[in-house]
Amino acid sequence: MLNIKNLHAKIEDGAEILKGINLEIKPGEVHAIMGPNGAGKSTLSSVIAGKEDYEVTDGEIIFRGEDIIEDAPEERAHKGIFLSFQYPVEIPGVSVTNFIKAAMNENRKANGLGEMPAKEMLALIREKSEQLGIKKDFLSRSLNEGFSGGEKKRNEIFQMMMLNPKLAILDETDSGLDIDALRIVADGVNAFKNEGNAVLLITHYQRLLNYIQPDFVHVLANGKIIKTGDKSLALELEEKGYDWLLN
Amino acid sequence: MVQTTDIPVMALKEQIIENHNEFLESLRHRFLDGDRKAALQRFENIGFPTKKDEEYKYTNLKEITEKGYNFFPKENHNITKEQLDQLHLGEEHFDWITFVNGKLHKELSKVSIENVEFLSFNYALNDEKHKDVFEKYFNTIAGDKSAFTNLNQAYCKYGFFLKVPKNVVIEKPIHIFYISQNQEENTFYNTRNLLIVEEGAKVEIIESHHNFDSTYVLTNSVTEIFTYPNAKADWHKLQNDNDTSYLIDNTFAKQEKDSLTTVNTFSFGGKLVRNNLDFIQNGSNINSFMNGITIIGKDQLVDHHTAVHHNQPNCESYQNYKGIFDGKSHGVFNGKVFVDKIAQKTNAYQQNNNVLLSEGATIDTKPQLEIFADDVKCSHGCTVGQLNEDALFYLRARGISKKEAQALLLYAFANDAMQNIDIEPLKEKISKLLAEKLEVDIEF
Repeated sequence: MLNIKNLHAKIEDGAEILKGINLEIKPGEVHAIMGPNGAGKSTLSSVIAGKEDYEVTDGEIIFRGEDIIEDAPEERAHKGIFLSFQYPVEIPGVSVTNFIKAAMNENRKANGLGEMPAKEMLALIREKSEQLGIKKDFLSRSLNEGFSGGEKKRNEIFQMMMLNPKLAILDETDSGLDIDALRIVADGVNAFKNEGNAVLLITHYQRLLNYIQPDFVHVLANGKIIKTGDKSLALELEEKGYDWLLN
Repeated sequence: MVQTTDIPVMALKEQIIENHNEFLESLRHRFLDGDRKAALQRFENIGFPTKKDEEYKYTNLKEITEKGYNFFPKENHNITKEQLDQLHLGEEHFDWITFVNGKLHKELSKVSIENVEFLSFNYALNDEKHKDVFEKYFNTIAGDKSAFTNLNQAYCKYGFFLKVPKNVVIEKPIHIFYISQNQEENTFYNTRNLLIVEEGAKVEIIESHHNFDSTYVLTNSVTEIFTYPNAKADWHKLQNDNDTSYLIDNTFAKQEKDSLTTVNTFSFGGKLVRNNLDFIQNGSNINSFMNGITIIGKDQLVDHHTAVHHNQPNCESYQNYKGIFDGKSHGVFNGKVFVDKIAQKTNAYQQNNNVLLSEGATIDTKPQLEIFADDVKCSHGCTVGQLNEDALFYLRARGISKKEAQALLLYAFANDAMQNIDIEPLKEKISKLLAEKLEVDIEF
């Protein structure tokens, strides 16, 4: 699904942040990347999604057999990469419904499909929003405007479920969530998950991993993956912190 | 110092002076002749503003004043109901009154009241019963200082007239269409609107100008709005005319205590548009709203000059102007707020935010506050910027193309200047025009 080889990236005209990342994600797998602040976790997710503030200086990102480094963010989305943002942007005046409709149809168009019939779209919106406990009036509100932290994250997961990507990268989706919201978000991710897709969780804490079971846990520090293990590694990190790995 | 460029400017000025007698001869009513001649004299003395004039420093009128115009538009037209339908915002929700080539056309109008002529400025001018109304209101706030208002006073004849009686709520917004068609020569219109909203009454107006020809239309419009206690008047200007249109809009609103008046200006089209908007607060507890959205490109120019006169205590004014400029377009915003020394507890808010989409686009923005009271809340701010890159990335990461992502963000940027519109079809129309101007096919 995703094969990252020796990935180096820096901020445009700035310091190198990713210093040789190697990561392979196969269909049906859930990976978690953990690490201390400033390790490069969010940079890695931004670089996979194609943020233009970063320059890839070396290495490859192969997604479903294609090198995507030259692709624009929207092209990567069309190919099936989804990034749930740590800080979703507020768009006043554009409703959640209209936004998701626009995004859905853009993706369909890019994949040679026509616009989804309005009826079908509404039924899908209803199904997914109900699954996440999203109320009807929420859908007519302006995108992310005045949303609480939990509402923003729930909205990200709603968009993920609607767009049904091949690879979902969840960047700090657990931050700012209370325990109930966390459970709903995790239920959403678990419902989304199947043998044909994959999930990459980026998180600072182990908490989320109680609800979404990862197959692999990687520790990212100083721009490199310094340790890989199974879910027990997350518990070990919770107990001991990161220092024992850094020395 | 005499410059050679002054000569052609004199030319239009001379046309104006020369044509006046012929214009007066064409009128049925003559009771205003004296006032009209005096106004023409004042215009002659003042002359068209040039770039040396502080108020026109950024807006060069030369391209307007160097052209020749026909002062007496040909009446013949072939505007059909279908063509008018294209301009409508949705028939069932509105009444409308249509002027073609300066003349009211009943067959292209529809109003819920008995006789559409009651909404004609010209009809009111010629109706003895309205003489006292004219004496009381006409030109009392437009004043005698500006070249354009004097010019309009000298030449005005056609336009919209409405006096909403006490406690009458006009349910359907009234859309005024000013259409110019089949004019082989450049044409000059001096439209005139007079709206009086008596105590407790309510009305909403939409005004739009449409030039169907490739010859130039110069419209010098004067609107006077009077709002009485507990009355509410909303006037929406939809400025989306073609590339051979010039509009000088002079709007004056005078409010009595406890009244609410809104003037919204949506500027998408026209070659050169100058909006002079004056609010005079003449009582306490007044609310005045001024919103604007400007989206232009090519070599268009839109200039907003606003002035709010806070003359009494406990009043509020809100100005929110958004501008999006592409191509080699040029935007101007100058917002004046005057707070008299007795106008304590004034709350005046002014905001002008702009996005430049190209290197060739420019904006000149200047807030101007003159405050003589000490217990007031006045805020102002202006920004000029580009789109937020993080926000663009967010949208693109959802599969939305760069162009459409930009359009969504610009829509979001302009959106809060639409908050005061309570006519849903108008909001939809503006959203559609925004998408059109930004060349995207999305429903916001």
